[in-house]
Amino acid sequence: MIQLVKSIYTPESAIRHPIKLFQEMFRDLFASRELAWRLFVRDFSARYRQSFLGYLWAFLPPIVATFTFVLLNKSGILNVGALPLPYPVYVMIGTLLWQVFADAINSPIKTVTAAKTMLAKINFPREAILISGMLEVLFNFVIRLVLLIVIFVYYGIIPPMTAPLALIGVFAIFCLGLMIGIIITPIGVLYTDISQALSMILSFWMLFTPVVYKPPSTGILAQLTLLNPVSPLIVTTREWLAIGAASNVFAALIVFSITIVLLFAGWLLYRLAMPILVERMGS
Amino acid sequence: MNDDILIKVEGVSKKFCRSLKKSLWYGIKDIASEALGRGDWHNRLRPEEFWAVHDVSFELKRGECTGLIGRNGAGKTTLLKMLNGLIKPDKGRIEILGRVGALIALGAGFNPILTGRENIYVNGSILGLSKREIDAKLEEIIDFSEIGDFIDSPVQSYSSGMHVRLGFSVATVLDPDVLLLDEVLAVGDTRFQAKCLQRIKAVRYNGGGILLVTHILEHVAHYCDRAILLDKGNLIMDSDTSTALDNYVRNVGTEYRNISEDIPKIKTNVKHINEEFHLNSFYNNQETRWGDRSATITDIYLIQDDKECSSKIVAGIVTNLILKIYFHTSIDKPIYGFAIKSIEGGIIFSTNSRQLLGPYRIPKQSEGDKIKVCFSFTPILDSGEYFISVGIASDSPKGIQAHDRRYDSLKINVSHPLSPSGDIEMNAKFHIL
Repeated sequence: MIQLVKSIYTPESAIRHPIKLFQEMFRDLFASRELAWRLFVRDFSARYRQSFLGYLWAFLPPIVATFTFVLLNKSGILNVGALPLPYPVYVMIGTLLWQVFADAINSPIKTVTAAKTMLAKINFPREAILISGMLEVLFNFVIRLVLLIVIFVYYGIIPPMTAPLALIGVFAIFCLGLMIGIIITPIGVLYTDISQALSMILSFWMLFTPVVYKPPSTGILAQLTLLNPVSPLIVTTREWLAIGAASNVFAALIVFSITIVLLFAGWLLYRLAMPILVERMGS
Repeated sequence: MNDDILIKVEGVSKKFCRSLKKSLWYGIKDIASEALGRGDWHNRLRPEEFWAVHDVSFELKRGECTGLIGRNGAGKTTLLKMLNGLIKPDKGRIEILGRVGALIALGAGFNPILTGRENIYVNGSILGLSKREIDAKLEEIIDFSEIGDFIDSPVQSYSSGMHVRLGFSVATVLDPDVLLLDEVLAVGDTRFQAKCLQRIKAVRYNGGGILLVTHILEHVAHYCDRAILLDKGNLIMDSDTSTALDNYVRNVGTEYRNISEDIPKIKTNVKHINEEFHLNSFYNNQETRWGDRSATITDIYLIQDDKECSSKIVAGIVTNLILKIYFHTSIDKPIYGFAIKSIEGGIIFSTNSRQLLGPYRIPKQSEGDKIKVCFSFTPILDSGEYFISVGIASDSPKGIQAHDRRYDSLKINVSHPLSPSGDIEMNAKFHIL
């Protein structure tokens, strides 16, 4: 007879047996790949089916954002000074990178909230919904890359040798957003205040990040930009992508290392919190 | 753990919070304790908390189908969620052997915009099936769902019945050792329910165990050989189906006072009356009998051509089903019913006095009355074996009260009338026009 798996449920916290817990985490991560892909395909195919403009909606937000800032700059309302790149290129790269960060932060709460009924009724690897959300964020970035190619060609910019490194930069930005998103998910699922505050905080946060302007070297804004973990990642990635020499790789590396550690901690927290969250999801 | 025991629940408790605000706040605290590996919060109740499930223990063995019954809020669904590993117990221990299939949310993850076919893959993945498994079973799933050409239409254009059928069809591909069913039999038509039953039988036949949660007692009576009665989180009774249903029915609308199993089969104030029901030659001693016994069906006859049938029923001719009933208390609005089931368990025909005469033409009965009622019908049936179920209930302000329901109480043999030449009688006649 085949040895049957035995599941045991007790009140004890899983963290008391860390080795078993880690094994289970990676086993579930592996087991969730097919479901994650399926959910991603589901959301992706459904998203634009009821829409006239369809996939155009994926491109519109960065175009509109770039256009807005270019207009503000042209009319003299926003003065960004001397930049190493044509301003539209600078803004476009910044917006795309920031979008990855913002999407990644929002993704875990959004996907978990959307999957509430499923989570409350079916036992499936809980990692799957996170991964499907991650795939969506990355996919959106990839299709927006088309815009980048168009704008590079238009302004005649030849990507430097360091351009492939920018992929690592994008990954770091993605991980940072995801890490923050996962850590706030347990509270965010319980209290809607978190998602309410998040959109507000993000628009404020963007102002302290060199997305559409060059980081200042003096003043309060300079200090804030320095403390902002997103700044070195965005600056470094943009430099790798379009300029060549990166000015602050060290800071970016530190941010990335801390991010990876905290990302794992967030995943752990997500797993431990899930049964407690499900109790409060009702049916 | 013995290999025959699929589910072992030992002293399991779960607490819930009445107040939403407090519940959310406790949630934050519990997550913190969980992350720090502290477990002391499980044991005591904080303000506004109560035990939704309290110190429940039971076992489910291979080949068993056990019903979990109780009123709303008795803790049935909470218990099921713990068994399915969705939420953790606050006390006790649950062990489950083998693959668990839960038919709890049919069609979970369906996206209304996507077609039925696309949703089969989504739903299947959520239930843990690989793409290859779904590919292999796709046609079978579509056939089983009887959705036909609609399979390539968006699910939002489906009727609720189609939605459920599709969800159920995907779930049938699972081959679980433990099947958890929550109220799924309540949806769908009779045919669909018969399919559910087939599925249950297959799981049991393959050595699986089933736990059926429902508040529809008929389903428990039909499908389960054991029942567990829960009330306010406590396990009141774990016994054979008839006893548990009897107890449940008698305590509807009241508190459970008696927590022991020595509740007498018949009310104590009931005087002894002769039952001759079991002397009927068709009597099935594996009938499921339940009800509060305010009235009892004491005897039954099947009459064809003015003669009592004893060995077979002939199809296609008028049959009288006569019930002898004794009223232990007076009953204002009695309802008499009967049903014919196939040997596989599908209900072929059912009716009751209310449908046939309307609610106002059935007289009330007083204590001590002995009456006979008769259903006349023409059994248009294939030859073979069938079950007959009979029952008396009544309409009261508390809802329909079951007094004496005797499911599958007769097992009849139906044959076709033979013509003089020994073939099937077709009532052939000859005229010159």
